[in-house]
Amino acid sequence: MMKRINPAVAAAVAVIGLAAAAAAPSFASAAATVATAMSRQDMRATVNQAKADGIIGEMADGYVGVRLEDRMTPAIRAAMGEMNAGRAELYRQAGQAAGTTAAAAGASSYQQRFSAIPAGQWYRDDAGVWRQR
Amino acid sequence: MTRTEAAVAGTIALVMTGVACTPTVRVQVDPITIYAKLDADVRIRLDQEVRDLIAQNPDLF
Repeated sequence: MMKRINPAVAAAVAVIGLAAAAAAPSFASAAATVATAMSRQDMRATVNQAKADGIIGEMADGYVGVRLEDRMTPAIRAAMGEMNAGRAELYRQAGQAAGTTAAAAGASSYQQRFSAIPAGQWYRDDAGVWRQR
Repeated sequence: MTRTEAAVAGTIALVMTGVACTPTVRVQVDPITIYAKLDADVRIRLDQEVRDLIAQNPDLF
Protein backbone atom coordinates (compact mmCIF):
# COMPACT_ATOMS: atom_id res chain seq x y z
CA MET A 1 0.00 0.00 0.00
CA MET A 2 2.76 2.41 0.96
CA LYS A 3 4.37 2.30 -2.48
CA ARG A 4 1.31 3.95 -4.06
CA ILE A 5 1.35 6.94 -1.72
CA ASN A 6 2.84 10.07 -3.22
CA PRO A 7 5.50 11.38 -0.77
CA ALA A 8 4.13 14.92 -1.11
CA VAL A 9 0.66 13.74 -0.13
CA ALA A 10 2.07 11.77 2.79
CA ALA A 11 3.91 14.87 4.00
CA ALA A 12 0.79 16.99 3.65
CA VAL A 13 -1.24 14.45 5.58
CA ALA A 14 1.39 14.45 8.32
CA VAL A 15 1.30 18.24 8.56
CA ILE A 16 -2.50 18.27 8.72
CA GLY A 17 -2.33 15.63 11.43
CA LEU A 18 -0.06 17.89 13.49
CA ALA A 19 -2.33 20.87 12.95
CA ALA A 20 -5.38 18.84 13.99
CA ALA A 21 -3.56 17.60 17.09
CA ALA A 22 -2.71 21.19 17.97
CA ALA A 23 -6.31 22.31 17.44
CA ALA A 24 -7.92 19.44 19.35
CA PRO A 25 -7.08 20.61 22.91
CA SER A 26 -9.00 23.87 22.41
CA PHE A 27 -12.10 21.93 21.39
CA ALA A 28 -11.59 19.55 24.29
CA SER A 29 -11.24 22.30 26.90
CA ALA A 30 -14.30 24.11 25.52
CA ALA A 31 -16.28 20.89 25.86
CA ALA A 32 -15.06 20.21 29.38
CA THR A 33 -16.20 23.61 30.62
CA VAL A 34 -19.73 23.33 29.23
CA ALA A 35 -20.37 19.58 29.51
CA THR A 36 -21.87 19.88 32.98
CA ALA A 37 -24.01 22.90 32.13
CA MET A 38 -25.59 21.68 28.93
CA SER A 39 -27.35 18.51 27.83
CA ARG A 40 -26.73 17.09 24.38
CA GLN A 41 -30.30 17.98 23.41
CA ASP A 42 -29.87 21.62 24.52
CA MET A 43 -26.58 21.78 22.64
CA ARG A 44 -28.14 20.55 19.41
CA ALA A 45 -31.21 22.78 19.77
CA THR A 46 -29.00 25.85 20.29
CA VAL A 47 -26.83 24.96 17.30
CA ASN A 48 -29.84 24.28 15.07
CA GLN A 49 -31.49 27.58 15.98
CA ALA A 50 -28.26 29.49 15.27
CA LYS A 51 -27.96 27.66 11.94
CA ALA A 52 -31.55 28.60 11.07
CA ASP A 53 -30.71 32.22 11.95
CA GLY A 54 -27.69 32.15 9.62
CA ILE A 55 -25.26 32.88 12.46
CA ILE A 56 -23.33 29.62 12.11
CA GLY A 57 -23.22 26.84 9.54
CA GLU A 58 -21.67 23.60 8.40
CA MET A 59 -18.18 23.84 6.91
CA ALA A 60 -16.32 21.70 4.36
CA ASP A 61 -13.94 20.44 7.05
CA GLY A 62 -16.82 18.63 8.79
CA TYR A 63 -17.20 21.12 11.66
CA VAL A 64 -19.64 23.94 12.48
CA GLY A 65 -18.24 27.44 12.05
CA VAL A 66 -19.15 31.08 12.68
CA ARG A 67 -20.63 33.07 9.79
CA LEU A 68 -21.89 36.20 11.60
CA GLU A 69 -19.43 36.96 14.39
CA ASP A 70 -21.33 40.04 15.63
CA ARG A 71 -24.45 37.95 16.35
CA MET A 72 -22.62 35.24 18.32
CA THR A 73 -23.61 34.71 21.96
CA PRO A 74 -21.78 32.81 24.72
CA ALA A 75 -24.50 30.13 24.59
CA ILE A 76 -24.08 29.57 20.86
CA ARG A 77 -20.30 29.54 21.20
CA ALA A 78 -20.45 26.96 24.00
CA ALA A 79 -22.90 24.72 22.14
CA MET A 80 -20.87 24.93 18.94
CA GLY A 81 -17.65 24.19 20.84
CA GLU A 82 -19.12 21.12 22.48
CA MET A 83 -20.52 19.82 19.20
CA ASN A 84 -17.19 20.34 17.43
CA ALA A 85 -15.30 18.66 20.27
CA GLY A 86 -17.57 15.62 19.98
CA ARG A 87 -17.11 15.53 16.23
CA ALA A 88 -13.32 15.85 16.56
CA GLU A 89 -13.26 12.68 18.62
CA LEU A 90 -15.45 10.81 16.11
CA TYR A 91 -13.28 11.96 13.20
CA ARG A 92 -10.16 10.88 15.08
CA GLN A 93 -11.67 7.41 15.62
CA ALA A 94 -12.90 7.05 12.03
CA GLY A 95 -9.59 8.24 10.57
CA GLN A 96 -7.66 5.83 12.73
CA ALA A 97 -9.96 2.90 11.89
CA ALA A 98 -9.59 3.56 8.15
CA GLY A 99 -5.84 4.15 8.31
CA THR A 100 -6.01 7.84 7.46
CA THR A 101 -6.41 11.19 9.22
CA ALA A 102 -9.11 12.92 11.24
CA ALA A 103 -9.08 15.71 8.63
CA ALA A 104 -9.99 13.23 5.89
CA ALA A 105 -12.80 11.88 8.10
CA GLY A 106 -14.11 15.43 8.54
CA ALA A 107 -14.20 15.90 4.79
CA SER A 108 -16.00 12.57 4.38
CA SER A 109 -18.56 13.66 6.97
CA TYR A 110 -19.26 16.92 5.12
CA GLN A 111 -19.62 15.16 1.75
CA GLN A 112 -22.05 12.63 3.22
CA ARG A 113 -24.20 15.25 5.00
CA PHE A 114 -24.09 18.01 2.39
CA SER A 115 -27.37 17.06 0.67
CA ALA A 116 -29.13 17.12 4.08
CA ILE A 117 -28.35 20.81 4.73
CA PRO A 118 -31.82 22.45 4.71
CA ALA A 119 -32.71 25.06 2.11
CA GLY A 120 -32.00 28.56 3.38
CA GLN A 121 -29.16 27.50 5.70
CA TRP A 122 -25.60 28.62 5.13
CA TYR A 123 -22.55 26.42 4.59
CA ARG A 124 -18.89 27.18 3.95
CA ASP A 125 -17.61 25.41 0.85
CA ASP A 126 -14.16 23.90 0.31
CA ALA A 127 -12.89 27.24 -1.03
CA GLY A 128 -13.85 28.89 2.29
CA VAL A 129 -16.79 30.84 0.84
CA TRP A 130 -20.10 31.01 2.74
CA ARG A 131 -23.01 30.03 0.48
CA GLN A 132 -26.74 29.59 1.04
CA ARG A 133 -28.64 26.43 0.20
CA MET B 1 37.11 16.81 20.62
CA THR B 2 37.89 14.20 18.00
CA ARG B 3 36.79 14.55 14.45
CA THR B 4 34.09 11.89 15.07
CA GLU B 5 32.77 13.71 18.13
CA ALA B 6 32.62 16.93 16.17
CA ALA B 7 30.71 15.20 13.41
CA VAL B 8 28.23 13.72 15.92
CA ALA B 9 27.78 17.08 17.64
CA GLY B 10 27.22 18.73 14.27
CA THR B 11 24.64 16.14 13.30
CA ILE B 12 22.79 16.55 16.61
CA ALA B 13 22.79 20.32 16.18
CA LEU B 14 21.37 19.96 12.67
CA VAL B 15 18.66 17.55 13.84
CA MET B 16 17.70 19.84 16.73
CA THR B 17 17.50 22.79 14.36
CA GLY B 18 15.25 20.75 12.12
CA VAL B 19 13.00 19.74 15.02
CA ALA B 20 12.84 23.31 16.29
CA CYS B 21 11.84 24.63 12.87
CA THR B 22 9.26 21.98 11.97
CA PRO B 23 6.24 23.49 13.81
CA THR B 24 6.64 26.81 12.00
CA VAL B 25 6.19 25.15 8.60
CA ARG B 26 2.46 25.29 7.98
CA VAL B 27 1.32 23.94 4.64
CA GLN B 28 -2.37 24.59 4.06
CA VAL B 29 -3.93 21.58 2.36
CA ASP B 30 -7.69 21.55 2.66
CA PRO B 31 -9.37 18.36 3.92
CA ILE B 32 -11.33 17.88 0.69
CA THR B 33 -8.06 17.63 -1.23
CA ILE B 34 -6.71 15.06 1.21
CA TYR B 35 -9.96 13.13 1.00
CA ALA B 36 -9.97 13.22 -2.80
CA LYS B 37 -6.41 11.85 -2.96
CA LEU B 38 -7.09 8.84 -0.74
CA ASP B 39 -6.82 5.41 -2.32
CA ALA B 40 -10.30 4.22 -3.32
CA ASP B 41 -10.27 1.34 -0.82
CA VAL B 42 -9.28 3.65 2.05
CA ARG B 43 -11.98 6.16 1.07
CA ILE B 44 -14.68 3.47 1.01
CA ARG B 45 -13.59 2.24 4.45
CA LEU B 46 -13.45 5.81 5.79
CA ASP B 47 -16.90 6.68 4.44
CA GLN B 48 -18.34 3.57 6.12
CA GLU B 49 -16.64 4.37 9.46
CA VAL B 50 -17.89 7.97 9.35
CA ARG B 51 -21.41 6.91 8.28
CA ASP B 52 -21.62 4.52 11.24
CA LEU B 53 -20.34 7.08 13.76
CA ILE B 54 -22.78 9.74 12.51
CA ALA B 55 -25.66 7.26 12.85
CA GLN B 56 -24.54 6.37 16.41
CA ASN B 57 -24.19 10.03 17.46
CA PRO B 58 -27.18 11.91 16.02
CA ASP B 59 -26.88 14.65 18.67
CA LEU B 60 -23.54 15.77 17.21
CA PHE B 61 -24.89 16.45 13.71
